[in-house]
Amino acid sequence: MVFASSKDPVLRLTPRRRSVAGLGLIGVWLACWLLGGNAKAAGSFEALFDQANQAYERGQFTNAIAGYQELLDAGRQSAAVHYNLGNAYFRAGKTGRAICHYRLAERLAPRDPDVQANLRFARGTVGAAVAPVPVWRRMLPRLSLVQWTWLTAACWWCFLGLLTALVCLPERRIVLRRGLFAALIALLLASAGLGLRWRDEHARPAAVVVQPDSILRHGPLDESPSLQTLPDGQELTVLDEKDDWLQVSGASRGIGWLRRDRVARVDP
Amino acid sequence: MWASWTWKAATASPAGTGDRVRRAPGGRALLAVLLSVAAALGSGVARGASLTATLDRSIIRIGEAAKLSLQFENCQPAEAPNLPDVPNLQFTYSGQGSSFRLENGRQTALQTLYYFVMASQPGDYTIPAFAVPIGTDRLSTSPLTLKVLKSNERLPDEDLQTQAAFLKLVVPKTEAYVGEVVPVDIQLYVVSGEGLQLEPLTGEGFTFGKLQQLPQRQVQVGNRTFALVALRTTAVANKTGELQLGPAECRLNLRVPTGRRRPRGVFDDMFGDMFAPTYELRPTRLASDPVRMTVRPLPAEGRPEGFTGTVGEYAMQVSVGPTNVAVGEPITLKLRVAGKGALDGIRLPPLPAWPGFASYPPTSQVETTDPLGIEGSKTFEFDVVPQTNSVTAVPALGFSFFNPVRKVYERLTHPATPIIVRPAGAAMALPPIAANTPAGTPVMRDIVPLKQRLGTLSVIGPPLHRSTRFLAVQMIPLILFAAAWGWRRRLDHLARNPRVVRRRAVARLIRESQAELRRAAAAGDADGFCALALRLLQERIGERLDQPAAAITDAVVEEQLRPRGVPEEVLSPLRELFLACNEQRYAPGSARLDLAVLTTQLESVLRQLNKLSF
Repeated sequence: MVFASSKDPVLRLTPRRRSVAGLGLIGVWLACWLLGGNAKAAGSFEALFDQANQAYERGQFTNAIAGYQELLDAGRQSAAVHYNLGNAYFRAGKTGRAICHYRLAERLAPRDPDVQANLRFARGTVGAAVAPVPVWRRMLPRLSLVQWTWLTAACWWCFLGLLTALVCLPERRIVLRRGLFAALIALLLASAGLGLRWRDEHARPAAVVVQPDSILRHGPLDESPSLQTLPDGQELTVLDEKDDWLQVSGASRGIGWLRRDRVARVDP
Repeated sequence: MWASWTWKAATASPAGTGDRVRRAPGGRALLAVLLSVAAALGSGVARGASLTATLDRSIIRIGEAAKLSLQFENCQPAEAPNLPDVPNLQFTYSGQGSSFRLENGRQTALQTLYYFVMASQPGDYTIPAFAVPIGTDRLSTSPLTLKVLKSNERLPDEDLQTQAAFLKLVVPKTEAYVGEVVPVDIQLYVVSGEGLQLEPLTGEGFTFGKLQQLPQRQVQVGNRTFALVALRTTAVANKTGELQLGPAECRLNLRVPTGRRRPRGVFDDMFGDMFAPTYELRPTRLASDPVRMTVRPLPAEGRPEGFTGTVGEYAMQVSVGPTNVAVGEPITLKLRVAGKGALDGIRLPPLPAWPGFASYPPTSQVETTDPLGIEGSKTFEFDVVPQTNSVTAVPALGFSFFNPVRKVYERLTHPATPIIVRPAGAAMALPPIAANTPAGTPVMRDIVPLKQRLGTLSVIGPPLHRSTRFLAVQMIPLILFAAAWGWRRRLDHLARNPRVVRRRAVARLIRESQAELRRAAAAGDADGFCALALRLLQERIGERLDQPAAAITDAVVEEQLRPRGVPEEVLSPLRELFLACNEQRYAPGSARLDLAVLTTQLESVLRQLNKLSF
């Protein structure tokens, strides 16, 4: 091991530059700490992904589904994996599961036009009603939950950085206050976007019917009267759970109960 | 009780006593001037403009005059109306009036022209429709009928003229079919009264609908003017035969004129009639004559199959969707029956057992468009589920009803709707998807192919913003801010307290000078030792007394420290230290100083001075 000598320029840094260098090192360490382990075994996942793609191109959709699913079972996901898995399910005639994975892919890559196109196409084949997205929601930036989180964090750092600068440099308060106000607005907007996205994905869990002729019932019992027969691919919102039953909304005839094994939760 | 009103009849009608000549020229000239001014102010037919012609009575005797009113709503005639030529009828202009009406926040301007109508021969007359120019457009009236009797003939309602109020039940026809909606008017004629309370209308075998209040107006019955309060409802006969409708009943307080009171004093004589009421309220109960209705059954001849008893005039709209489904997926049929009749009573025949379909009972919704609730639509919505992919169309739909106006059964049909039914779970051979596609998006025939790059892999787990690590990192700027804030507060505190700053500076000076003091003592450097010792004493005492260090001399001991109660064990060594330092300063070498003892003494004095507070 080679140690730096006392003549090394690094050791002759001024205290201010030494502080900056120290903060940089801390930043690098934090990044590694936060993102650590993601690059691990990336090569094997690539190989698995390619094998599944090959199976799909050969028309072996069941094998392709198993390959993509193996990736997910390993605790890793990407928009491409969910998208390709959705394609494989769709080709296998399982429209409900295809819609489920398209929606998961959409969560990770909300601006991906391929995902949007296939999700729209799959929904069109089902023909079931999908709740329309309000206009104001369509005007919001289409960011994933992670992107909203990073944006909010950036705004948070920016806001507190400016606040700290305002404390340390009161003579520049006029300029800093303007920046602080802008940062506060950005932080509030980003927080609202994050909250809405989180609500969509977690506070109101979604589910998709994955079995044809699934009977929606008035109550969580097999003896309960039938309310409606739902097609494979009908998208629902889960309101409550009881034993093997889910209370769902989104069907044309209103709220009802559905057996848990008839639906797939839109959750990785 | 249905309603309560207060009203007062007009005491006089706009009357003209001009010459009763055909189209009185003087009146027409004045009218022409007025209308020219009005036309100059505004031309063209305003929005919502209308013209209504009414006669205040439909029967008169020779020698009597009926009053013709031409009411212009939201418009004004460009010129005097050209009344039609009716043989043996004379029209005489009698004046005009204008008013504003505010209904449900909507303002309506009304201008009315009045004419007297007199006849020279008895008979039945019809005043034909005629048009009046309004700006660049023309508005037309409806035809009016007037029956003229001989001068000695008795009027049908002549008995009623002598009453202060009477109630009538009016139906447009006395023969109806079972299930047919018949409008019923309840008309109260009253000279003056208040507190009207109408009893619910009765009639065995009838079902009554909503109640609508019609605008109140003035009518002439014989030679007397009444206020006409009218309500309209609907009656539907539920059984056949001779049925009795009504009577309608109401209670009200009639205003009856009272006789003149006998004067009891000078003030009574002067003001009694001015302040005392000239009428009294007399509670009255009125009842109309009942109306006999002949209710006929629906004809058996021509009754179509699937007829459910619906009577009225209707049209039908049908929509079917989606038309591309897999086996087992529901198709929604919407059947909308719109028209006039008893909408709530519309029933569809049960769907026949269509081969290849399973069907469910429909849901229905009624939407009315008029106050009486007899015009509007009823929409039925039901799901049918194809059970096999051999189904190619939703069968034709039909709806039958009896039209009481044409007195025939009518049947509305909708042809079969072609559909595509795929095998269950199949996603192959998909047709173009046009529905649910945003505008401008190209129509797709298949899904987009696979992605060939894995992309950025992420760990499946809780959301990033709920990760402990992530949240911990977000605390860093908060901690930095807190530190900066504390640092700023400390700086501000020191800026506000210069004595604290000086105290700290003196303490630091003493701390840093101790080594140098000892070194000077060890080296026997009496000059250096005394100079430094004197400076430390000046700084410490000056800081304690909040005075400049240069102003501190040995005189301070007696003049300032002793009066402040500093103990003698501090003052005595302090005096000695000042003395030694001054001697060394002003007479160097005159005295032999024990620097080690002075060092100990100085440190002790500085410590004790530090403990003092003034």
